[in-house]
Amino acid sequence: METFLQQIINGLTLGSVYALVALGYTMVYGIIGLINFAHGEVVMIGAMVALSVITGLIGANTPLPAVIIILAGLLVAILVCVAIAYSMEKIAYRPLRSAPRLAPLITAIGMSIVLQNVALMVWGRNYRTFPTLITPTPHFIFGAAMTDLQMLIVVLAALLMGGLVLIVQHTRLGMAMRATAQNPQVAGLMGIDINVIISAAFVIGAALAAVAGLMVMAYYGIAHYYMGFLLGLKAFTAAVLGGIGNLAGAMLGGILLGIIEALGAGYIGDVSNVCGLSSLSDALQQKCAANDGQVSLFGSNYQDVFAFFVLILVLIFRPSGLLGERVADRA
Amino acid sequence: MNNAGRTGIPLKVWAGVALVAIALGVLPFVAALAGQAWVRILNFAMIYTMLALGLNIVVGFAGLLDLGYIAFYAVGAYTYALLSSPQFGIHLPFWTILPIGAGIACLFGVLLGAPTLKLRGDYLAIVTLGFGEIIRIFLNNLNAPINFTNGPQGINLIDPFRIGRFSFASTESFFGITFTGPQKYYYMLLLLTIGVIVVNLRLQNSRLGRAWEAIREDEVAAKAMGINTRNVKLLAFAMGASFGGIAGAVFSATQQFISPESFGLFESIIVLAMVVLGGMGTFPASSSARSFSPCCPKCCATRWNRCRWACSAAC
Repeated sequence: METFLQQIINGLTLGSVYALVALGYTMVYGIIGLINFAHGEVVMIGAMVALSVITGLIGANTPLPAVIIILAGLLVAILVCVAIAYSMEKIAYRPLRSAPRLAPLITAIGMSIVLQNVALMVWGRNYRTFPTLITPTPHFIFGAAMTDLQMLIVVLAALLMGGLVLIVQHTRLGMAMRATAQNPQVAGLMGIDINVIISAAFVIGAALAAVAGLMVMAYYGIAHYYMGFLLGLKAFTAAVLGGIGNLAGAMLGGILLGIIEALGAGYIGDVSNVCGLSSLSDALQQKCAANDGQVSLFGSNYQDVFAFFVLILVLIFRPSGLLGERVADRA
Repeated sequence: MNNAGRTGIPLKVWAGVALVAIALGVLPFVAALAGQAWVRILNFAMIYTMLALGLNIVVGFAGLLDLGYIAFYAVGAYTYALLSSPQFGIHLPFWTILPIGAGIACLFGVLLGAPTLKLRGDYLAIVTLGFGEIIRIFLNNLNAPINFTNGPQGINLIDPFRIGRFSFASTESFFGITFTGPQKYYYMLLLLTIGVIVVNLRLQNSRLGRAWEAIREDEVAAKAMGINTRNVKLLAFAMGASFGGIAGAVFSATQQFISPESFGLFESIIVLAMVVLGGMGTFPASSSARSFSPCCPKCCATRWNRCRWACSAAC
């Protein structure tokens, strides 16, 4: 039971990060129908920039409190990510808006490779550690530990998601975004500047990505030029899981994916433990005795498989995601 | 109309074919002047051509966006590696493994295709991508508790192609001309590639090829016209996969070493980029682009300075 609760907490933390990143994917997809593969890289750049600023400020021995340092790092990261996403849309995607759907997709993958290599050049290929500014103190809930860092991540993610929903549902910008998502041509005829709306989707997504980048770096304690790839992939999986183009779906998908992954990683070792069958073979019996009765077919190194496995299962039974509607027919 | 007119194919065409054949025949020796590595790059170009042609069936003909195509390549490569290496001590000859590899890859193609028949567009893309990652993660981790794939270290000392005592990996001379290993592979790969190209050309003009095209253009209309869309889509996955499997087996034999690293998402994307670069679903114009583009990552990675010009010219 404690393991279960603990894994739920871990999953919730990771899931909130996935959800924030997934929102960026789903907003862009909802409006222009593009899988922005470079979004994961924006997260990575956000993490790296924040890390550089924070380590720089610490190295300069400024008498600032830790919170201010982190906020400064976050602010710079958001600005850089927003600038990157804005120019990416303007340079790479806008000229291809009327091209066949596969062309912008390949371009997005290309952008992702470009950003990865830029990060490789700027920050090198080594893992970088995040300095411990705040030592996380665990709080115990029914025997499961939740650090204040985890709490901060979950609460902040929830606040940001709530804020995004408010913007989309209750502001003029949000109304324009919804209109553009429904039908860009008609929205344009109604006096909405579609280019501004599309840029806004990219910019908001990038700002959320920067926050997510800082979160995931603080959570794991390391950053790496390649970290955005798998994170982006999982977040996109989360967006599809919830039904792509749907904001609530992205949040639900992200949190579900995080929890499924954590539970899977926590229990796969026990579930696939073959020692229950040790009466069948002597060799197995000896092996079990040598390993404290733990011989598993699969270990937690299969963690990444769960995300995709669940995705495939869900899509078989609900081909357009949990909360989604139908998407365009062809590539 | 002279004597060539009787067969319906003018003499000029035959002359062109002969010229191309001579050029292709001499090419490995010309490339060898610049170093054996260039012959290897040519071989890679042909392996990637086979891959791109296989993916072209799925993406180009049938219009099903597949981002995990490299999984079938991996399946073919690992099938070959496991059946002809010291890993299990099995050393089957290549002409038995090639069909087995193609068959197993085909099976995986159906395995992926069957549950995803209902999916469309981007949902299909992400599921295939996930499938590719699952295969790679399994290859990476299937070394415990029972060692199948040797995990991240990969499989080493894979047998090269061998017919009797004639091995494709060693240097030998015939008729006073010295053939190195890569050059011998070149001719083998050339034959295979031409075979794959012919099969593809014939497929494109067949009843099945037209059915794929119809599905690509409008699935609902195709169904209304009496095409069994389920079977036809499954066939696209299966055929694309088996070509990938063959290419993978050949890759395994030429490299004599494989590891899960060679089968990441990035490779899938490169192959997809080749198909797009060559023009989806089209044939003649694309072949050249397809055989050029694989050179870029390979030679940029291995010998960046010397071939920068070549890359920029080819890309």
